[in-house]
Amino acid sequence: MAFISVQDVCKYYATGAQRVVAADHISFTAEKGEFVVVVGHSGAGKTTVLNILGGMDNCDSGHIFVDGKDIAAYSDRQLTAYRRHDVGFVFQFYNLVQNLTALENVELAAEICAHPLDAATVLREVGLGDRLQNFPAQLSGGEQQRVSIARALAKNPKILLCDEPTGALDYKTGKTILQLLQNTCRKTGQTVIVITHNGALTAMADRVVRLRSGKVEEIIENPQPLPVERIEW
Amino acid sequence: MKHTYRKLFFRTVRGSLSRFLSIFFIVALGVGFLAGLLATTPDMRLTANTYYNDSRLMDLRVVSTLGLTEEDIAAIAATDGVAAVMPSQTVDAVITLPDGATAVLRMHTLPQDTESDTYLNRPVLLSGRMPQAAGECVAVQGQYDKSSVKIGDRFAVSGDVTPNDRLQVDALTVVGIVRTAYYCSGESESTTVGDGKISRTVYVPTDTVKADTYTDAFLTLTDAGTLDTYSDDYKALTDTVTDRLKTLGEVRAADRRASLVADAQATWDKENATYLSEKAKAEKELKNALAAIRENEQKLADAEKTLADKRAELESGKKALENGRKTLADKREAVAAVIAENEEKLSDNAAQLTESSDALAVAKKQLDELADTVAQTEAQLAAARENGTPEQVAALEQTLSRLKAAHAQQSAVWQENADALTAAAAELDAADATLQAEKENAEKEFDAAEQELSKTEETLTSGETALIAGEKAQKEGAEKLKAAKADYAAAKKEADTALADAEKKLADAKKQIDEIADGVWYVLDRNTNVGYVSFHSNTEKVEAIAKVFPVFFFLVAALVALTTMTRLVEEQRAQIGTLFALGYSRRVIAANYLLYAGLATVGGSILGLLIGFKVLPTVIFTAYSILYTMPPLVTTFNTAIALLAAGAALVCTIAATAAACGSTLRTTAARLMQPKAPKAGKRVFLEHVPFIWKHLSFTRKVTARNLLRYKKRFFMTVIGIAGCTALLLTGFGLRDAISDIVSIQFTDLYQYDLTLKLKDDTVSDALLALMTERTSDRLAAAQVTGKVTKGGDSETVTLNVPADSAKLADFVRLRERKTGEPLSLTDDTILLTEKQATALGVQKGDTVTLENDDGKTADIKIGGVIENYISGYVYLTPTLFQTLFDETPAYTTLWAKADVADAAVRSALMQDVLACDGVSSASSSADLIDTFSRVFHSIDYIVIVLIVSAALLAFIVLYNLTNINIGERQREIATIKVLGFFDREVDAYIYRETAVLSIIGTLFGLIFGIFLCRFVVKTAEVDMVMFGRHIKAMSFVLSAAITLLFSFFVNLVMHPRLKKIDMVESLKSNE
Repeated sequence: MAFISVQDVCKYYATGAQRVVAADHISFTAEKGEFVVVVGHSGAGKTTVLNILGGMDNCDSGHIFVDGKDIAAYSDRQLTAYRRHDVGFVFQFYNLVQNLTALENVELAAEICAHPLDAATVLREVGLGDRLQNFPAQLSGGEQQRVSIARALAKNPKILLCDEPTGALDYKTGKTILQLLQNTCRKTGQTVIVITHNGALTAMADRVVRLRSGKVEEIIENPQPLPVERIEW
Repeated sequence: MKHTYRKLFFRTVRGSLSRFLSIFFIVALGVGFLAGLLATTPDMRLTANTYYNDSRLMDLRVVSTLGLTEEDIAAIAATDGVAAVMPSQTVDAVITLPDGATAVLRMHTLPQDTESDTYLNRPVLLSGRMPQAAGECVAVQGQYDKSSVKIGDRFAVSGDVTPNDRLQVDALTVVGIVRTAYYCSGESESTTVGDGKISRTVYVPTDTVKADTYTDAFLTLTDAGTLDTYSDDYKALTDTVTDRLKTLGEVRAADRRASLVADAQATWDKENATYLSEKAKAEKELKNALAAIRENEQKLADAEKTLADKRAELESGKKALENGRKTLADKREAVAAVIAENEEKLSDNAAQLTESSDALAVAKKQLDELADTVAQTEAQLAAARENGTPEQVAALEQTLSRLKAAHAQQSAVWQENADALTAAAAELDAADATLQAEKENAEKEFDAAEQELSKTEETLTSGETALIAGEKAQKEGAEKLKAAKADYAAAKKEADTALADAEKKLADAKKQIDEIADGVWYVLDRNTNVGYVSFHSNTEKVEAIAKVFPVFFFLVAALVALTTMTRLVEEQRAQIGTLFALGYSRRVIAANYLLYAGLATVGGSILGLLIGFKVLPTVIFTAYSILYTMPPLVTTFNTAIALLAAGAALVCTIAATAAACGSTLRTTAARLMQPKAPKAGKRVFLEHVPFIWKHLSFTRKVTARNLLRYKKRFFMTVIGIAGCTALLLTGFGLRDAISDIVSIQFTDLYQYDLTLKLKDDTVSDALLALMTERTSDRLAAAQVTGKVTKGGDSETVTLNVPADSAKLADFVRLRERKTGEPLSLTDDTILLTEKQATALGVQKGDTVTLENDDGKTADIKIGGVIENYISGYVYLTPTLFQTLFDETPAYTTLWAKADVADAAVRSALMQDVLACDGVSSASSSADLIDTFSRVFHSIDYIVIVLIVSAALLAFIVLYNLTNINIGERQREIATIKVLGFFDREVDAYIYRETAVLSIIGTLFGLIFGIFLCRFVVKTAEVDMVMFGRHIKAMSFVLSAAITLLFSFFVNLVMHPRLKKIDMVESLKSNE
């Protein structure tokens, strides 16, 4: 079985009398160490996939196997533990704790999980070796996102889940961030799932899951992903 | 305001309802508290005023040391300003309760006409009926034990001791229970009879008491009812009339004294006259008795002499008698000898005669035999003449004739002899007869002599008997005389004593007359009524406290408004920017928020006023109702207070809101529409202490940084929590302050158990004996009311002068409060009690001016400031007192130690002590502890009010803080949830701040509470009482624990809100 296996996941939202189908029998897989890009337009079901895969929400039917365990069957508490130990989040808006330094923000996450990496090391790896003691407000957006990534990596997670990691960044910085993610994936064998509306990013992925209207439109395996420098949008 | 804009406003309110409510409730709390507390005193006073007016409570009471006559009453009634006068009798009687115990009953007489306007101090019937006949009474409801007097209780008025002899009845039966404004407090009043404590008070019909004067005149003043009894106007009015009555009293009392003196003098004169006549009579009687004794003495002496003479006479008579007897005996002997001789002769003659007689007798015999033979022969002749021969007859005749011849012859011889003999015999008889006659004569003579002698003897004997009787009588007479003398002596002595007594009595009576003091009228106003005064002082305490507490609520309300509005304005940054961009002016936009705060404030004020005006006065009044029997509280809506409180709240919140809007509204629209840069993280001072910082986990570091990042919130919470803790500490501290002083004062400082007040400085023998037997130690002291003056300030104190300064330490512990260092008296310094020293701002070594009750002043150095809580004292030695005032202290106070822990023993001892001459009052420390403890018990309710308000304060502040924290940090919370924080950890992440703030607040509160408590304790302090300054450790612990418990409770309440935060929030952008 694949490292990550999303099987027939459905999610409905009831808004008043209407039932909105957010995820309609979504299925895909990802192998360990793969760089997966889930792409789609607004309302295609990206966020639902993110929520469900990230253990932030339950699906109404279907299974999500992560490293052999069906998180769809998890209780709230188990989901919390799952988020805690197995998932690294990279947010669009970084979501750093303003009151903690870069190092501390990383440590905040590392502190609570079972097998954390050394925070300073991770930060150095993401290129922030000289900004350890800076507060988020003292960092640029790209630097903040790096901290965010470092925070996710320090947890030594099974999945690195990135929600529009370049959404709030300028083009150039966005690219360096993507580079960082790709490098991380390649160098450490970390499974990275990037969720984005930006189709250009599909070129750098090992696997692309294209969503449309809550359904999987296509799954493309890309044996020759492009390096980030060569991607343009 | 335009329609849509208004809509926006209401949406804003609806969208941030919890914030709106935060302001609303903190304002409600603050305003409610302020208005409620401020209104409590006026409400309580209004209630009291209404009660006093309704029951026509006297404005003044006149008592005279000489009693009040009808003329006095009329004079009082005629005094300008007096509306109505009710003369009355007040009697404190010793009664036997239904359970057999004795107690003191105070009775007041009710007027006969209960419809009249002059019926004052009207009792209000609670149950039963009013008394109609002598022997019935209505009892004033017990204050502490409301069931202590029941209808049907019968009080036997025991004995005919004063003052029970003033009563017309021997028992009183309770027919009704009343409450009365005159006795609205439960504080027991003192008396000079029984055990010194009034145990029950009753109202009786006027004919229950007999008396020719009244003990009291209760009166009301014209227009006094329209004034607030606690106002200066009222005081001025009563003072004016009091002065008039005092002036009247001087005249009336002088008259009264004169009439009393005249009466007494008349009685005395009468008694004196009786005495004088009795004295004269007695003296006369004694004189007579003495004369009689003298006379008897003389008589006795005379009789003695007579007796002696008689005795001598008797003795000589006896001697004569004896001589006579002897002479007689001699004579008798002589005569007897002669007679014996004659008798012998006679007897010889007789013997011859007898011989002759015998011979004659023989002759006779022969003659007779011859006669017989003749007779026989005649018989034989006779027989022979008949039947015999004539020879025989003749023979026989012959013989017969011979025989007859012989016989005739012989018979003639015998006759001759017989005649001779007869003659001899006659001769002898004659001789014998002569002798006999002679003898008889002699005998007769002798007998006569003898008889004479016997007679003499008899006379002598009877004389002797008489003499002996006389002598006996004499002896008796002497004894009688002696007895009479003794009797006389006794009678004289008795008479002397009786006279001396009578004289002394008269002298005493005279002295008493002289001592009939110039009657004094005491004009007592309501301020001498225990219940009235204590109620008033309690309302003042509430007023003082009302001025402090609401400050917190207002400060916190302002901070809550500030933080809330700041947050609201920040949240609506974009909206404000948009509105700016659309052309709305700053003023209009600001108005939106000012309106928001204003609406919350006005709404909260209204709620607070409605609740505060009702609840707080009621709660506080209920607390005090333990001490007073009063009609239910009259609560009012006090507009002035309402406007003041609401206005103050509005000022606070509007100012806070304006401050919150200020910076935002000064920014340009363009910048407002951009998301506000998150507030930068900052290092906190703690980081410079690596030792601590390194040991903190990151969540704790966040906490530490957050705490210092949001200063408004920090201050709001810390102040709120500190306020909560301080309120709690104040509550508990107040209780400590009060609960302690009673025991410290009466068991720690005062080592004695009993205090006796003597009429003068002599201790009667009976009292001394009693005290020696029943108490273990005693110390006499002089207590003089005086003044201590320093600069312009002066404090009234009691000068305590122990008779034996060395012994004082055994009775009163003199020590410095803080250090506990014992202090002792010296002859050149005084010791002053702490409260007075503090009030005057003096300390050890300072010189103050001491004034005694005569107004004499002297400067003296303070040798030490001593711990004392109730009343103010100066302790000084007799020597110093003498030196300062040139006057010997009068030791009229007696402190005694005794084992009187048992109430029955105590009561018995008090009763016995008061029964002794010269004791004017007695009090026991145990009873005082009891009284004070009850009074201070009401503080518990205040503590409850404080705890509740502290809880509300803590809740509102923490709720608001948590609310804002959660609202503002929703993204952060969502993020850490995404990061995999468990619920507990999320709670902790947020609550740690609350907890730390709570702890900081609590710590500040404990410190602040000490000052607040001190302030409240000082403000709440009654005159002459210093509350304890020591807050018990337990109170700190409790205050902190309860605060933290509130904090924990808020966290519990907020938990669901944290749980509800959606992780999806983390995915959203900043705005």
